[in-house]
Amino acid sequence: MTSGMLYGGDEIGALVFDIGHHSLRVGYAQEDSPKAEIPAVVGIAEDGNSNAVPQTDKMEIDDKMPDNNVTQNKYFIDTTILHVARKGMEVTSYMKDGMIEDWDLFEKVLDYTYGKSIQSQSELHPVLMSEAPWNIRAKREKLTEIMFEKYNVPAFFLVKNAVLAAFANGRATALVVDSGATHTSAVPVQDGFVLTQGIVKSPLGGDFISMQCKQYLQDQDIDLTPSYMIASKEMVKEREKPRYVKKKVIPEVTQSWHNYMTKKVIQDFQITALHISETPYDEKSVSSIPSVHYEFPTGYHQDFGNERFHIPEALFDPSVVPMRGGVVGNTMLGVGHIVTTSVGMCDPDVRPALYGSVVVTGGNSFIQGFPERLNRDLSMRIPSSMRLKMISANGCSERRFGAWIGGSILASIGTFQQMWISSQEYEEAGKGQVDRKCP
Amino acid sequence: MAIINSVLLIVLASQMESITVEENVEPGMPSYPSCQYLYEHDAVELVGLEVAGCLQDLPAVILGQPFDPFAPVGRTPPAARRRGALVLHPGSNVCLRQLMEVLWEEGELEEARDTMASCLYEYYPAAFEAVAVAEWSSAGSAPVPAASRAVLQGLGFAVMGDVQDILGLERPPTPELTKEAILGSSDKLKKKQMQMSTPKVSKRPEGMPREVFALLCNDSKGVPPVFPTDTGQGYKQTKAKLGMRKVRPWKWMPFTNPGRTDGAVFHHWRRVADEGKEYPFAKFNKKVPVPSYTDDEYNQHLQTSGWTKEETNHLIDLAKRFDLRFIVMKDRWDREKFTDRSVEDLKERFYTIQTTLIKVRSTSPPEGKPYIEEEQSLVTEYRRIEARKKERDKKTQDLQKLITAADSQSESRRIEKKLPKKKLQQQLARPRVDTVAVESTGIKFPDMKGSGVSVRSQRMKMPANVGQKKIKGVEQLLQELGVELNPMPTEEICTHFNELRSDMVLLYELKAAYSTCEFELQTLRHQYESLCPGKTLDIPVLSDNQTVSSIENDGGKQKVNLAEIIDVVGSPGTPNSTHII
Repeated sequence: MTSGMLYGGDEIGALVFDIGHHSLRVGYAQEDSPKAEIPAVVGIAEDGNSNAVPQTDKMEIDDKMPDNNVTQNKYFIDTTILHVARKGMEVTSYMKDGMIEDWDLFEKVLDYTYGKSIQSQSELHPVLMSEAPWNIRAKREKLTEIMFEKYNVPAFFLVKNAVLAAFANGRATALVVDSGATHTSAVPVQDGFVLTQGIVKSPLGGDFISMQCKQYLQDQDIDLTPSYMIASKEMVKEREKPRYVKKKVIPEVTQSWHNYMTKKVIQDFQITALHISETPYDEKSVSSIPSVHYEFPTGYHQDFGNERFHIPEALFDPSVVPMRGGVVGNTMLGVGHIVTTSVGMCDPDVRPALYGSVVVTGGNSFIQGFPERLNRDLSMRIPSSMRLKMISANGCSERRFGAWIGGSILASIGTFQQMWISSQEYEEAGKGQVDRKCP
Repeated sequence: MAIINSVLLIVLASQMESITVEENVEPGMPSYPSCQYLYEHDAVELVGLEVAGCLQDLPAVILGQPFDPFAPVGRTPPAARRRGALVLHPGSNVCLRQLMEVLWEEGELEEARDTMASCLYEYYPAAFEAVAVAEWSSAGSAPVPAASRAVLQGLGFAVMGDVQDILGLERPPTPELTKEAILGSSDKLKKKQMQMSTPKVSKRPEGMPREVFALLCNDSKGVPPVFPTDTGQGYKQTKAKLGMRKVRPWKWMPFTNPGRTDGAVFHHWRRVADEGKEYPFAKFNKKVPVPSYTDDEYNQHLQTSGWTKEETNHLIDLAKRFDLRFIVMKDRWDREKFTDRSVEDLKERFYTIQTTLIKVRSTSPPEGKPYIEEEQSLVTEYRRIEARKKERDKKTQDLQKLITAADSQSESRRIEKKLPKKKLQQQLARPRVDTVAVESTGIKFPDMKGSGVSVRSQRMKMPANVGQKKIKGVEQLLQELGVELNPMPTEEICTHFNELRSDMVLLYELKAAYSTCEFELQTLRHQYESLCPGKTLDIPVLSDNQTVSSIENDGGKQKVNLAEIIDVVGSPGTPNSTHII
């Protein structure tokens, strides 16, 4: 056979978009990591009020409203631009519940992506996009329409991100445990098809943990002032009140942007300090583990001991969450429970295969000890006749970009090239076929 | 490193959205630490080639990801190397060429050679992604093939042919890669070997023994090699010349996939030689055959209670979409329109439809039950026959064994008796079923020779492998014959006593075999008579005086009769057909 058959790969210059709640990952198929990761939030400010630095001028995308151009909004996309303090810049996300909600905003991000990250024309590259396994038909069709009508892509394909995560780990049948920003879900995948009846998700995700952290830190009276407000700081002793000088000239930022920046501080704390104990949380056993030192932007620093185990314990045992206003509590499912419930809803014939490859992915699974604890919880729960195998990519980017890498693999496989919805097909059969062609 | 000092590092960081220009103005400052810095900071995205075009008037080296020709070998991150191996940007050849030409211009021949060598060595074939562009200062900016060639000649590197191809320099067509091409011409080698192998005639001095001389000078070659080689002598000729084949170029070309119905055109990289060939992955486009039916067929044959036509259509549609993955089909079942179904329900309905359609459509006589039954009965019959045949074979073998034993034991005695010729012939003509498997029956007394000093009476001891039943029988027979159980172990008595007992055991076994045969004969006769009433089977009956007890006296005659019996049982011609009932 020709050497074109080597490894079964055939790359046609496709782009892969992995749309997550935290960020949008984009890059070329067959590469091993995305070209860009763009936050899923966008800063919006009314034109004229912005005192942006002159350099950023070319990055803004003007929203041209043909009917009544009274207000022209400016959009600030991507980390660097977004993190600059601007007067009146509101931060909003275009995502909701794992699905695209604000299409205009999403289009702005796509414009930016083609213009700045990919730096190529959309007509040249077929596009493979990921979606939430519970994405609804109307949204899938809308997305198809936008890609073909506005961006004139030569071909398009939609795949569920759980399937892609399974592919990235070399499985066609797997139970994908995706612990992301807004929720943790267990999605059974068989032969590359999501078993939609078996999807279980709970809102215990990274954002929930951030909320818990925030509450805890505020209870401890720790100053969470983000670094954009701090001009200088002094060395202080541990647990001493921080001494820092605030910046004098700060534009009047909006509350949403301030919250966004504060969340960044908390997220950093979360990544650095939190740890999930391998056995269910027990104050005594945990207290023997060395504490972790953390310094906040204000200069305040201290050792964190039990708390760093106690906060993320909520992922596996939601009953530990202190009841406040009765919002969250015992009704939630822990991660282990989510997995067993999901498998329990599948046909008994596939259960052994699902337990045989439990794929752990998503940014929230990066909390230290997450896979180990899940492994332990599951081995206690599932029947002894089942063989349990957990697959969690060790590499940082492999797990962080799990779904993207799966898309990169899928879009560069020779046998996949007949699956695309081409622009010809779109013109003939319309957007309705996305449900048939992309199961 | 002269050239590097005058170089600008241009880093285009996508996050910064601006072009940062770092200038290494200080002479002698090595540039690679900054490269290293860039690699270590993931946030900084390095973009190369596209920018290179617009910055032609700057003296610059743009460090593209993942290649940095100036970083020491082994310091680029493995991830970058991996990525580099995957991508081959069009047009990057130009950059490499320009770099080389600049280096040549500057008179840095050594530098040029080393750079080339290290990039080709470490990153080939990704070397051509090297986004290294240097200022092209000469006024005309025309390519300098002569200079390039000089650099290349200085290279002396294995992949030089490829570089020549890239630079568009002509080179003579290279022969196909053969072993000879790599290891040097074999003719030469052979000649050499021939020369070496012609022995120098050195004379053996008078009086020296031949063996001693052979030790001193063994031909002219000295010590023979430990294992044979075909690489000739020493290391000189074994220098491998690899990579002498011409590079097969790749091209970004459009293609249509026969696996698609819409004829969409995509683009991909492919060898120029393969242009126009069919898309190699189209042949993997396989579909599971799913039956379809017409309205008439459905109305006539496929109606069942509990399934509407719409529901059935939905089932068939799902089967097509998901290639009979019933679990997925169940998952995607339209629960809004139809009632929920279990996987088993779906399977049952689907396969019923399939079998019904096959039955209805097939014009050939249906493969009904009678055929299957007939086949099954034939199979069982065949098995029964096989089993009987095996049993019979085994019996025949046992008998044969006994007879051979009897033969060999009485051989010595018989030779003296001089058998009549006729009998001898018969003996020879007797079919030997399996002489190899035959063991001598009777008792095998251990050979006491060589086991040191022993009491002779030990020779008469029964060996342990003789069964208890046989020992009992022998003892009884001895008592009947009035022979002492433990006679005086003189030499003669020992031998005879052992022989006697051995014969007794043989007799015992023959008796048993005889009675088995007799029994079988009777059974067969009864069968025969019941099958063909009115007929009687004529069996040569043994006369009374030829009873078993007379074996001792008239072994030869008895043997013949026995042989005949065996023949009757063993040969397939005779009453074997009675076995098949």
